[in-house]
Amino acid sequence: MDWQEIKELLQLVDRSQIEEVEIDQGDFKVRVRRFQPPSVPGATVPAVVSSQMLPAATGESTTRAEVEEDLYIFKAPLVGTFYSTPKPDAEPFVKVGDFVTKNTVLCIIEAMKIFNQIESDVSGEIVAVLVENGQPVEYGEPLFKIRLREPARV
Amino acid sequence: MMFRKILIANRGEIAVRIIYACRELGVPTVAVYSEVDRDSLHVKLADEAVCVGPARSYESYLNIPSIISAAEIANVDAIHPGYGYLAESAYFAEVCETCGIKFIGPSPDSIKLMGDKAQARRRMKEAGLPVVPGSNVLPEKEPRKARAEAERVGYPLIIKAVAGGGGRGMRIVRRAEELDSMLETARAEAGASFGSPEVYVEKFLVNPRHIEFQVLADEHGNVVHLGERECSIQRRHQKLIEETPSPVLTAKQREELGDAVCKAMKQIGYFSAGTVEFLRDSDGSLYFIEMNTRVQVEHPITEMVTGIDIVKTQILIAAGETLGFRQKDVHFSGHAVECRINAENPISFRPSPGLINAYVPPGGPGIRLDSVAYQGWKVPSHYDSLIAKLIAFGRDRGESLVRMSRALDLFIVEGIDTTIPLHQKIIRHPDFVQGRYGTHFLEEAGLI
Repeated sequence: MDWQEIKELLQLVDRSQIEEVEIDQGDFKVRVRRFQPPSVPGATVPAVVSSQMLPAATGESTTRAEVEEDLYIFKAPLVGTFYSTPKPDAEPFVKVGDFVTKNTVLCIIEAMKIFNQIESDVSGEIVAVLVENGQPVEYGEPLFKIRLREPARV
Repeated sequence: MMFRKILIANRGEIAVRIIYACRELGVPTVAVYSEVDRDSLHVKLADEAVCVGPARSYESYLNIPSIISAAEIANVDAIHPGYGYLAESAYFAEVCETCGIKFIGPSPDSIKLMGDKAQARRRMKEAGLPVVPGSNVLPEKEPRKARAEAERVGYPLIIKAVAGGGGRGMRIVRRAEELDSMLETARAEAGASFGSPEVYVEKFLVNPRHIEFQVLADEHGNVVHLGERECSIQRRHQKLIEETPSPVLTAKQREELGDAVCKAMKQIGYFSAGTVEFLRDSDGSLYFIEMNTRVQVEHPITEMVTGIDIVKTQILIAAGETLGFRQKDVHFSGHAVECRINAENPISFRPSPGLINAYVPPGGPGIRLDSVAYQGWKVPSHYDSLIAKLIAFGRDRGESLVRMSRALDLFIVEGIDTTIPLHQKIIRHPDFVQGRYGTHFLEEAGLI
């Protein structure tokens, strides 16, 4: 089976009502299973999209498990030293409970004596700050937990 | 003063090799890695590890701000660049210097000098090394003078564009009768490609052998050479097998050329480890082609026959120590050969990344394996395919080849393709066994 055939198989499954299909050709085996978002049975949209849309759609009735799904982990985009404040004695850029939007400055990461302001790439509420001020961080290290929310809608 | 902590700005087997050297010196190490290298052996073996970026090399292993930042947060006082990546970046060496971190390698000036291949050749010629005989620019208006120049260089020769590169404006001329017309087309091509029709000629070496000299020099003016390595078994300029001593270099040549190399290194004030590369013509003459200002992939074979640890010495030199031995203290014993085991199909040479589901390395007398592979490791598809270097040592060439042969036979790697089957064929090929080969051996022997 080549890539083209696998691609066709995926499209075929996508268009049909089939839940799962397995093909065994001796030394080659492939199994395709339809993806099921756990909280929304029957829906075919990817989980990430559905969780982002859920709070707006269901509001207060959202269950605890579903809320956990809309948590976004903001990771360090570069290696360096993490600073939560613009200056040593200043207030932190963001604290738990703050609402941030895209381009809100979350922190500074110092790399090679350059202070890089790190901006959020999502909108939501800061629910946890995962690193200490002045702590070295790796590329990809989790920095903040953000609960995804659409920007202030009244 | 020995370093407090060393960061290794590399991955793969060379990162592991450097960790070994640091452990023997009692210096803690910091590995850097990209997101896809989280499970790499160098990350597991280093004392600390810092993720410096995503899979793509220029965002991680070639990302100078990230590497320096990692060095600063890990608080190291030296960086070993290995080979490839930033090893021959004069700029990186300068940045290290500016940040107060010792770059374990030569000076930025030496890297710059040798990075400019034309300048390097001029400088090494001045310093007394033989270079491929060539002409000045051939006068377009005086064809008789051009013919005389060509005659002086000798046939076969190659016409090269002064402004050229990448094969444009190049012509191989085998006989004097072909010269005029070849010059005409080469000039036209050079004019069209580079805006200048100026060309010169150089002696053309047919199926030359690649022979290189290993040097070690400290920052106090002491220079030694560790003999030669023959690296003629290549595929598209990628070395596959290296051996030392070369089957064709005489003791007299080794001594004379070794001396000349050391003198040239002294003249340019070179320090650290380095490799001076030559091509050997069928008449036995050797010509300087370029210098690599770093530790070489094939350095282990030299370590086997001299007993000198090149990587450890390189670190000691960077720490300001003197070599502690002279040329007369360098003794050569036995023969060593290295096969580069790549994760590639041995026929198509297509990269073969993926999960290694069985890995049983060979051992026994005279076998050394510098490897980054282990059972359960997934070879990433983003990088160089070299996963292991198998090195065999013997009292003489016969014994080391026999050892290599049996080690290749008993080396089990399953789940991915490797170049092991190709190596088995080369090591047993009658011409290779006789030492009769050049840089075109693989094509000529019908092995590729």
